[in-house]
Amino acid sequence: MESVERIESLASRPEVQVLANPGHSLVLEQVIHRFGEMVALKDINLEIRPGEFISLLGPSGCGKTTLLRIIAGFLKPSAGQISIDGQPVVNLSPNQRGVGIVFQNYALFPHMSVWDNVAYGLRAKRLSNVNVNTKVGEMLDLVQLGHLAKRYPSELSGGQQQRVAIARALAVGPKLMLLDEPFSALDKNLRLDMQIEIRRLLSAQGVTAVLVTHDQEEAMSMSDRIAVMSQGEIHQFDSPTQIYDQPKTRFVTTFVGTCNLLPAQIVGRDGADVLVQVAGGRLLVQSASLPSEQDLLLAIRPEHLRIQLQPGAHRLSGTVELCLPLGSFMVYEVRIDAATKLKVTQPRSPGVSPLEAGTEIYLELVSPQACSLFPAQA
Amino acid sequence: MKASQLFSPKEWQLALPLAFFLHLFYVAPLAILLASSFQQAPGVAGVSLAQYGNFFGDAVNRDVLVDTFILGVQVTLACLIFGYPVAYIYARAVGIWKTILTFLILLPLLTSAVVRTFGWVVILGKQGLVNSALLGLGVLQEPVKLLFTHHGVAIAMTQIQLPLMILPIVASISQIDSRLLAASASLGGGAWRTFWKVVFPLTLPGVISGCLLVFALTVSSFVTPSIIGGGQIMYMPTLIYQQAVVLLNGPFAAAISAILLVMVLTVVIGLSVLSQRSRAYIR
Repeated sequence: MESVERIESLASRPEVQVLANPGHSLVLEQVIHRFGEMVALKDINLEIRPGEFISLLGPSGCGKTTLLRIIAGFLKPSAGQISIDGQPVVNLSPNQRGVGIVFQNYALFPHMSVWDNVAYGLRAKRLSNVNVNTKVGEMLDLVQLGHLAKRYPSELSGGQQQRVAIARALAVGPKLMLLDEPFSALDKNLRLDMQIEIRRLLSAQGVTAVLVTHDQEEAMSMSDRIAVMSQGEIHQFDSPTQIYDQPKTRFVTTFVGTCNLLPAQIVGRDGADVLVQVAGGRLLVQSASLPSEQDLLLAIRPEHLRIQLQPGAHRLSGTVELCLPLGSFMVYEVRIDAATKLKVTQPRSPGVSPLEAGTEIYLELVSPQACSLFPAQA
Repeated sequence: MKASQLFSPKEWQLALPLAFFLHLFYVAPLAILLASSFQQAPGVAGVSLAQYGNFFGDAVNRDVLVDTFILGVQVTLACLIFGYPVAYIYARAVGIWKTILTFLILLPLLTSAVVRTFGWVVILGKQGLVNSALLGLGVLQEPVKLLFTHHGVAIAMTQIQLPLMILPIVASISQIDSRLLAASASLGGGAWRTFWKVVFPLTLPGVISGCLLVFALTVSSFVTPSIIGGGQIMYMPTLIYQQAVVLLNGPFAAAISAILLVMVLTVVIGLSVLSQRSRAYIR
């Protein structure tokens, strides 16, 4: 019941006022950062278009927070160039950059009311009282918190605090909005609401935004493009669907979504079609890029395998070991040889009983493109 | 039945030894002191406000009370002005500097107040460090009198009480989330604005604790005012000592003690109320 009401209340909110903010571009060129001997960022290049919402996605320690701090101006990169709208900003201090930040813990000033928090940046700009009051009122209306203006942050819920943080950052009209894991402190249901709301707010304002997160679902659902990072490098900078369907490196494949990795050898090719030998049989695949190495890994997502009961060309034989019904789909664990098990998800339809453990089955790819090949040596 | 079951104290029972000690050696003597302040004369029975009347009836005594209060306020403000920057630097220092600063801040606490006071006698004297330096530089023609003056006492007391101001402020500065400072900068706040609008208000509980400690200990300190003041300027503790030990007027000494106690309590309660308020929104 509650969640239905919440969705309705989201839907019934007045359309957010569209401001004439054309958005600003952000370009990072060859940004390198070292902490002593440790190289935290190796040659980061990113071009973010005006008004775009991008995510820096990666495990903890991949350098995404360092990169965020560099963009905000709290860290000076060891080398490289950063420009906003074509203007270099590396030598500007954080308070001169016009970059808004929403922190993981929101970092609201605890001794100021909601109103004063939102007014802080406007007063720092030395706006007249009348202008400050108008703008704060506007911002609080935007995040639907006008009625809580006199409250203190400690009297607000997590979601409300977050909306204050957004209003505070947006009030000064930042060129760029940085979001540092802003949803991790919210519970799951509220998180989804806030993701939708923030995405809507930022697009309506035309603000270019960079989200730092380790949560791939969050990155997938919110971003125009995702930069997947690991060990100080950007592995792939692409749209969410491209990242998922055509991962460029083995890291991206395994970090984003679930993936089966099979040792594979190329045994024949015909144009773009490649025949690969893996445990349990041979598969016909089409891979965008073909590594030149002999020992390869074939990466297949669980939902890109189809279970067949009859043997056939380009099918792998296996035995069902385990079957887990997970709501709308079934997860099977299929053994294809002594050392190799594959995860396979199949849509579950009512009335169809799941395959029992021990059933002999055959696996085929849903399409020859639904897999990727990588060199076995990382 | 196990021994632990036979003797399993409730939490409040663990505080009993201290409570007993405090009642026996603190609350009881205080009660006796207050009671004796209502005696008309030593050894005379009955309740009388004569001692209080004597105190407030004499302009000299009223001046001592006012001087003591002023000394407390001056020393507290001076400690705040000198101590806050030190606390701020200390809270942001790293590595070896933190160790050095810790040592420098705590060193005065590890030295006896008598030793430190005699140090100040050397510094403030007619041929002392301050006068020699100022005369040598040609700033002064005549040595300025610092020893045996109110200003001399205030200067020495400030140095002696400084650590008690610095430590609570350090504690409250280091509790500030560095992201608040980052947030202020990202909103366009410069260093000055960030300090006055964010850092200082958030350290108010520490500032108030420091002021409480410094004020209460300054107005009740005896050694430094006696030595630097040289018996020529009186403060409440020296007056109490004179009445109780030299003139053996117990009831009058008790009445002065009670008045000093009320003054300290008034300030303590006033500042505590402020502190409660400033703490309410700092979580």
